[in-house]
Amino acid sequence: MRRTEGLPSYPRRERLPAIHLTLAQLTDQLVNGITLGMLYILVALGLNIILGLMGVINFSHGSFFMLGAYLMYQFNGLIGFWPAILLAAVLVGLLGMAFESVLVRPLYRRIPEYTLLLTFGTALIFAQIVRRVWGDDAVRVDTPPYIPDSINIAGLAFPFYKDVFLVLLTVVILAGVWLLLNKTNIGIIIRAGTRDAEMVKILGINMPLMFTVVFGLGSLMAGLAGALAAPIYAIQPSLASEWIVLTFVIVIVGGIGSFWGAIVGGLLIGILTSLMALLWPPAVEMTGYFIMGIILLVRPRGLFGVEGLFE
Amino acid sequence: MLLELDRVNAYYEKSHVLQNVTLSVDAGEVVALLGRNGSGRSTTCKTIMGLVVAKSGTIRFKGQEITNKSPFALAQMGIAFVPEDRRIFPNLTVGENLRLAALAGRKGAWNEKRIYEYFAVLGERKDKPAKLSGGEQQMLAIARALVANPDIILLDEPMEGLAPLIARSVEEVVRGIRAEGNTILLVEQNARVAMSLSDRGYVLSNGRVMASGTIAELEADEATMHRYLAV
Ligand SMILES: Nc1ncnc2c1ncn2[C@@H]1O[C@H](COP(=O)(O)OP(=O)(O)OP(=O)(O)O)[C@@H](O)[C@H]1O
Ligand SMILES: [Mg+2]
Repeated sequence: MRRTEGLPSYPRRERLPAIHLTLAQLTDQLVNGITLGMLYILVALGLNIILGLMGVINFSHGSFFMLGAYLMYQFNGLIGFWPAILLAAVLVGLLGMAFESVLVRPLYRRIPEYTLLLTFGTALIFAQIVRRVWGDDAVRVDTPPYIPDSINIAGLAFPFYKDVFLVLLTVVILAGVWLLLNKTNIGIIIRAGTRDAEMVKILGINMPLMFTVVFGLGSLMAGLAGALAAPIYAIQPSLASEWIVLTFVIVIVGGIGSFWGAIVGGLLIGILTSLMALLWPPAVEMTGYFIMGIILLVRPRGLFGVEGLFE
Repeated sequence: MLLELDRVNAYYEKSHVLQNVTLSVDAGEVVALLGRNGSGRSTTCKTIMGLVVAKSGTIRFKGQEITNKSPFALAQMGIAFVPEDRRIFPNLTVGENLRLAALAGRKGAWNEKRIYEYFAVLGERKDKPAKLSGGEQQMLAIARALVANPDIILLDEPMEGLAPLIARSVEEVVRGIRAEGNTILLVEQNARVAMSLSDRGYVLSNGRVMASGTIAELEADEATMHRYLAV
């Protein structure tokens, strides 16, 4: 027989993946996309608040995310998983405050291109520092053994840390940020400052201090996202540039200065990018830009960037 | 004197907008800053508030030199500035606008509760977004100044751009807070209105003080009034 033994010849049509397999993969990628989206949101929200309040396009924001992951990796072996996450986030937050008060502050009165150039330059420096300290190759962090690998929900197994814990935790963090912005005096100052920072100053608020605090909070969120992401993504120097570009796309898609814009934009890009990995892998890298293009054509200020800042 | 400007000079780029401006405001006084459009009245307020740099000259407040201090420090010292464009935060509620102004303010005769009693319009809209009509915006702008219990209010053209009836009610508010003994540096275009609200006045033209005196003295000086003001 010329036919290959043992391999029954099916009609071509039936060799396509069966429907139930595609559904499982779809759910998988959908959940992946949500996790990715939630982390995007944490990073994009900090970027967006800093951009909205101070008008600073912080190209080093992705580096803060990357540093969060590397610092988590560094401290994990020394002080344990959870303390390492906290310490990494706090250190990145403090770094952000120092960064703002030493490097960015002298440039507020200049044209915006100066801060853009500055933060672009420091992003390159951070990348080099990371290569020097931790090397060119990816490093990895494992979740502690007591964290279950997966959890069964409705008959499907989901990775526990990545798809359940992280998603729930980021929801809690985002709720906290929402409360901070909408229910506290600091939130009033931030929302008002996003509109007219000078008028807030005229009302007696120490805005230079607020700028430093908010820059620190935004950086802390990026660092926290990086530290939380450390166990699920390869930790490497290219993280910074990948994430800064995507989170900018999210800010633009969602609308500058918009809380809900960052959330919807983050989830949209996270989910569609993940699904694209399944449907048409070569297009994964383009997904975000494609979405951005379409949305900018329809709504030039992004989805939520109409009028209300942080509403 | 509560507030004193001594030969203050200020510039926008190369144009010399305040030229040796000297003026003073005593506690409890309402002093009018008169002059035509572009004469430098708003710039005077902004320079006092630290928003425009005084290249030379000195500004003193409660005996302390405050030249070119930062605006938030001046606000904390007791200077409130109500800018001509009001600068209400439309993305905040009326209540949040007021709360923000009270945050760094001082305790005193005014608090949020009393503001809502005094300005009924604001009380009704407390929890609504501050997307207000011109008159309401001006009321809120004045309320934001009052709630901080300042020593002096720099009030820049509060009646400008309002319909006559609304302008009247804002004028009555200013008259009311004057009656309570508040100190005000009042910029006003309409000389007659300014005169009826003030104790003394300064007449600015091209960034220079051309005349000053009590309201009676200024009113008697018809030549100056005609030359520098829209009467
Ligand atoms: N930001 C600015 N840049 C450059 N020039 C300015 C600026 N603001 C005001 N000027 C100019 O400075 C001069 C004084 O302006 P100012 O705003 O103090 O006038 P004003 O007396 O308040 O009058 P009005 O409010 O009616 O315009 C004007 O000639 C004005 O054109
Ligand atoms: Mg003016």
